[in-house]
Amino acid sequence: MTGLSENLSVALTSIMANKLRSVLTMLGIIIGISAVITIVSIGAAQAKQTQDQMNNQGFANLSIQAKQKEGAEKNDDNEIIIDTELLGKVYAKYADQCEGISLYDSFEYSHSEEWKSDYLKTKRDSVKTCLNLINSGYFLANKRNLLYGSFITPAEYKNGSRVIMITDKAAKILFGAASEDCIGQEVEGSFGNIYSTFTVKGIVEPDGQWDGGWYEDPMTGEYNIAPYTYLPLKAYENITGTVLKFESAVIIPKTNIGAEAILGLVDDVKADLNSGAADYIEYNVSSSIDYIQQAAAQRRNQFLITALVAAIALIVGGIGVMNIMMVSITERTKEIGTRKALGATNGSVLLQFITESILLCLIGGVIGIAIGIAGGIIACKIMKMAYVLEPLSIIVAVGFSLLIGTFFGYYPASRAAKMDPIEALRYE
Amino acid sequence: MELLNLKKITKSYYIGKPNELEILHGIDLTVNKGEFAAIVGQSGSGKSTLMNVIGLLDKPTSGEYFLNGLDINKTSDKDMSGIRCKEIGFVFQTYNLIPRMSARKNVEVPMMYAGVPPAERAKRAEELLIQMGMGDRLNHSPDQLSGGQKQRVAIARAMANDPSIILADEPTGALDSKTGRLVMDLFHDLHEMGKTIVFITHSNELAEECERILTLVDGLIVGERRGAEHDRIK
Repeated sequence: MTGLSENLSVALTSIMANKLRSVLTMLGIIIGISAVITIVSIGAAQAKQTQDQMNNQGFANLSIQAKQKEGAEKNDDNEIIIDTELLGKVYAKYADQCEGISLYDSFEYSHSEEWKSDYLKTKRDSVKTCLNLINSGYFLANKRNLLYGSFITPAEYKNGSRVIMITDKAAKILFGAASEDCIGQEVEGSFGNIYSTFTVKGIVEPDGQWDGGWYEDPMTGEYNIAPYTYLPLKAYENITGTVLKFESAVIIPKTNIGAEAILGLVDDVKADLNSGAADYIEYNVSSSIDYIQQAAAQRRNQFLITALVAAIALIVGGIGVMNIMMVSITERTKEIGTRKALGATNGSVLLQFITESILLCLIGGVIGIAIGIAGGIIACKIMKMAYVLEPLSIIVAVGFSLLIGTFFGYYPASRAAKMDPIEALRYE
Repeated sequence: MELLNLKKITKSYYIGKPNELEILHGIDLTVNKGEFAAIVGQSGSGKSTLMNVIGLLDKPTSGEYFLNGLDINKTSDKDMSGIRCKEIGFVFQTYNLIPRMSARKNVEVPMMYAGVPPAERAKRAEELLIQMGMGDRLNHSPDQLSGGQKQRVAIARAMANDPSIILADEPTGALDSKTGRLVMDLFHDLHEMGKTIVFITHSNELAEECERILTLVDGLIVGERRGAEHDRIK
């Protein structure tokens, strides 16, 4: 029996002897495998993008809303607000899974229409603004790009220091340009019933061009956007001497805990809040994770269907290999007869042609993998996703090539092996 | 020393019931070591069938065949491949070289099936081709060679495993007289070296060059004589 390296060199010689036919045979495998690899890498990139979205854009955040409980009796003294003390206690219970809390919708403030006359002023100019009262959790829940200066520190939140974060658009109007020079500058701020001087702590990039407070210009009827100004809650409370009330809150879970844990957290927090809530208040806790998971599941289905189609392409490719091998063997009938006359056993002939089939599919597979990787990189670039290389997919692709080569090469090879040498030698 | 011993060999083919076509009707044949024997017969005499039986490409329907003392009837198909590989060197009328493969690779084929390691194969192939006068065409493929050149490569290939017998079926049939002469001279050289050659032909003229002539008519050996030209050519 001939050795493996013998067979490989004989197979390689046969493949190289008829390059056009070999390439045409490999085409099906190349297309099938490159399709599989490209699709798998797109799927992997999408999965990573989903994970990143979860982490960066706060899709994992838990939204907590206080509502009036249905059927509950409520008199006008009872306000539907978040019990911050209760929230703090519940938060402490799950603090190891979380990064922080952000409190929203200051009850008194956002309900007044007076904000529409709020502004920031410097010697140079003044700009209409929409005030956001925030705590230390705000920029955890709402990630923003810091352009200059720094974020408000925990101590400043705690003490209620009169520091503000403004957008680059506001900085341009107030100071002529957004730059490090703006940091530490004093700005007059008029917000509803308060008026004071504040220090610019940092300049942030708004979240898109529509980020800000919308208002209708009474003169033109046009809708304009007033850029946000961010001020520590405590500062507002200090200036006005009041205690703020909140309608909603956000708990920011840690980035590494995974979708299942977050969904569990939603249930736990909801249960704990509602068990400690006043009779007329119901807390609603939700997370956008559901939405992300749905979208991910949908993508997974699409991905599976496309992968199935690619698998069919591979099978068709394999049938192509079998076809061409049949033709090849018929053409080489005399050669097979000669080899048998010279001492080739049936087993040798079988091995020779299966090796040829496997080698064809392997070469096709490697070319397919290369094209698949290139295709994946291009596709990810077009879809603006980061390319992820899945080593497992390459191993599977190589495995499939071997499998197809063996399976679809077997029938033609066994036909060759069983040829009667006398008949074969007579073949014209 | 007896190399080939055929006793009452018959060969029949079934060509649809109830017809049975008997080609060889009981061949008795002995070839000794070192003999240059010719089997002469017209088309349809059964000489190809006889050659297939001698060459272990076909099993006789009845009768005994001993090759080098080995009882072929008791040999498995797989073992027959091995014996064919090592004991018999085929030379065909239509050369039957493997296309798109160099001359030296072609000569290496029987050695590969015999399990000879690559380096040794390559060396011997080169030597044999040089002996046949093909030293300057070692890497040519068959389509780059003339008929005579191809036959010389085929003879080198037949010699590759140093077989007991060279079995040549009309080796000069496709060649012009000049090239045919060349090839016959090569056979005489091999005979001189001690090789046993069984030479199958329909040409009486060529048969006369051989030591022994066996005439085959309608599946039976009808006569045996000594080649008239043999001593002269020697």
